[in-house]
Amino acid sequence: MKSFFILIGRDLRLSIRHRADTIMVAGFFAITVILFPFGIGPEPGVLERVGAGILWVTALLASLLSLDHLFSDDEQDGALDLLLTAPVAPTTVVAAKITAHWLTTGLPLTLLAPILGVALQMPSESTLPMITALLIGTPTLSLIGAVGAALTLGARRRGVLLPLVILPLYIPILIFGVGAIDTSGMGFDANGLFAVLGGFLLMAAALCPWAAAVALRIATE
Amino acid sequence: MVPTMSESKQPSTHLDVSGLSARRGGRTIFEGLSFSLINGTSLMVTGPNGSGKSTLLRILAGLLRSEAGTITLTPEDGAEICYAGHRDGLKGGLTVEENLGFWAKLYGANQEAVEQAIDRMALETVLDMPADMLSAGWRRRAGLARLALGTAPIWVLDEPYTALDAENVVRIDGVLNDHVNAGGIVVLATHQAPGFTPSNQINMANYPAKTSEVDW
Repeated sequence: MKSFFILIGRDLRLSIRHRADTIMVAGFFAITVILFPFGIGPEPGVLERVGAGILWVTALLASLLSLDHLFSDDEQDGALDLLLTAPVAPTTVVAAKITAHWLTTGLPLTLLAPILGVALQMPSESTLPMITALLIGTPTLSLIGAVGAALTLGARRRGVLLPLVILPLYIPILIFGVGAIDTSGMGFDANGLFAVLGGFLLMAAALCPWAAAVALRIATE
Repeated sequence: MVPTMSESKQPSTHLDVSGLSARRGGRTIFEGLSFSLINGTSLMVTGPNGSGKSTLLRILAGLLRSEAGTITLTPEDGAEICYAGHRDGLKGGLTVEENLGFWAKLYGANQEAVEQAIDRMALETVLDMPADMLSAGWRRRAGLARLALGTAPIWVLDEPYTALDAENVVRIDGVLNDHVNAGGIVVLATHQAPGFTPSNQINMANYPAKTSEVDW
């Protein structure tokens, strides 16, 4: 457990050094969301209706941007070999990298979303559900994404292959994430939808670090 | 009478390899490789390019699967391997001190061990430089300083002398020699004869694939 936090600390320190990467992801998220009011037009009701969907789809794409180098940076400079031969379980290494990825991608996106919700004319009642849904949903994105990043490690044209592998797997989170925000925004009880999102998170947390560690083993061979 | 463990006796570390063969890219690289090392010995792996030195070392480190044969480590849970490959694994964005500090924490080494490693590799002058800015030789030294931080008895080193000048080759020799004398095991692949006499030597050219499918 101690090495888990040491590994997170290392990745966080690295992302502070290369803070442009984190800022770019957040910037991509913000600019893409803000494009929609220009593209769709400012009629009230329209944006409000599609707002949750826009936020989620853009969040999926933004989190893909930084997944690409989740493992590949360490693979290129040889650190991955050393981490896999260190006296630490590969699953711990992967889990720590996923957590660091969420802290530098999912969390900033979650915090930005309420501000961007204003640009999408989303009702103020849906702010809290929006934060909650993203808070439960974005870690699942990082978890599933890590499996894809590990599977495509070392592949040619990884940048294109990774979205093709990962995006279909994001669909369930998209459906329930948008549903949770919309249902709460309309004043209905959305606890069931949040519970499903939580279920996805628990399932992914149990399976994905293990699967990604196995994929990494194969990729480094 | 209750049998008591003799506490003074250090558990002996063994690395036994028998009948090892490896396959890469559909081609058998070497076959029937066997050797046995106990603590306080070293093995120099030589051989022409492509004869499987790196492959052998990566198999020993557990990064690659062998095609056949067995590798036995005794004691099973205490005989850890510390691997150093062609790439040093230094993070370019972190300073040398931060890089070493990370490995020290991960290996559970104390500050004293870090200072010793820095001293041993004479890294004082570059401690606060980002690893990106280092020359190849400095990078290598900073990378190899990691070895001294761990407690792994078995060191597996792939071309540790690359990019080092004469003075630093001697420096590395000293570190390796000390590790062997302290009861460790060193396996190194190199083209350059080390300054100490390795107790065992293997030429990979002597273990070619028996099945003749040499061309790619």
